[in-house]
Amino acid sequence: MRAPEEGAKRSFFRRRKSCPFSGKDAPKIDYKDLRLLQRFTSERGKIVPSRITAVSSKKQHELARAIKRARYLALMPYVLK
Amino acid sequence: MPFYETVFIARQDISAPQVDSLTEELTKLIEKQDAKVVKMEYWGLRSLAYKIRKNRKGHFVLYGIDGPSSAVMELERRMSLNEDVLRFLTVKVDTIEEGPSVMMQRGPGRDDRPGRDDRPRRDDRPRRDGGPKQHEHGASPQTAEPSTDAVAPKADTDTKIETDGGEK
Repeated sequence: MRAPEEGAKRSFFRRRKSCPFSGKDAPKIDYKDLRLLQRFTSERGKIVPSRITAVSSKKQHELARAIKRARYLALMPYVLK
Repeated sequence: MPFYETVFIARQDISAPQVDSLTEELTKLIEKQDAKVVKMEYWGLRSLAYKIRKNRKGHFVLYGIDGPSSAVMELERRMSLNEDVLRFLTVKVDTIEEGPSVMMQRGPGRDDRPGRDDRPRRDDRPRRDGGPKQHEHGASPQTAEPSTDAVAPKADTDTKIETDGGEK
């Protein structure tokens, strides 16, 4: 009976993911790169919070600005119904 | 001098040669303000993520400009006056990247793919409840006109046909 309890406890320790935009061959955030930006938007077209995507706050700011630019140019939707 | 990237969207109804002449016109305008057009890209007729002034698609053009801010100001002023330009965005960039941007690399193939955007949307489609009604309206005057003149003759013709058919 103890083994599953321990297993459940252990699942709380998750390795902290590193920011996808830091490191060597990290992609450059650009409002024209739709495929990249789409990875960080939800099905509804919302910007996914960085606590889920593990983007650093500096890069999250950059990313949000890029997504908003793409939205303004109608490259990305504001809402997807 | 600082670098700028300007993207503008032209109306869907104008043809590709017209877009070319428009971009040329704007290029001349930029060069007149002693700025250089470092880069020019035509992304083609792309579908918009949402409607802009009743346009579902638009011609996208990108400029890379090396010049003073006054040149960009003048360019933006001219674009805002032009009715063919739906929207424009200018971004100040550190460097203008060499070679084609991501948009060009992917090519137009992605946009041609029959996707969600190509499907007629709900507001474009003829309404389902409106369709039959229109038919009813269309049909009723035709039937009504003879019937208002004489309801009985129409009934007569109907009966005649029936009787004819019966005789044959």
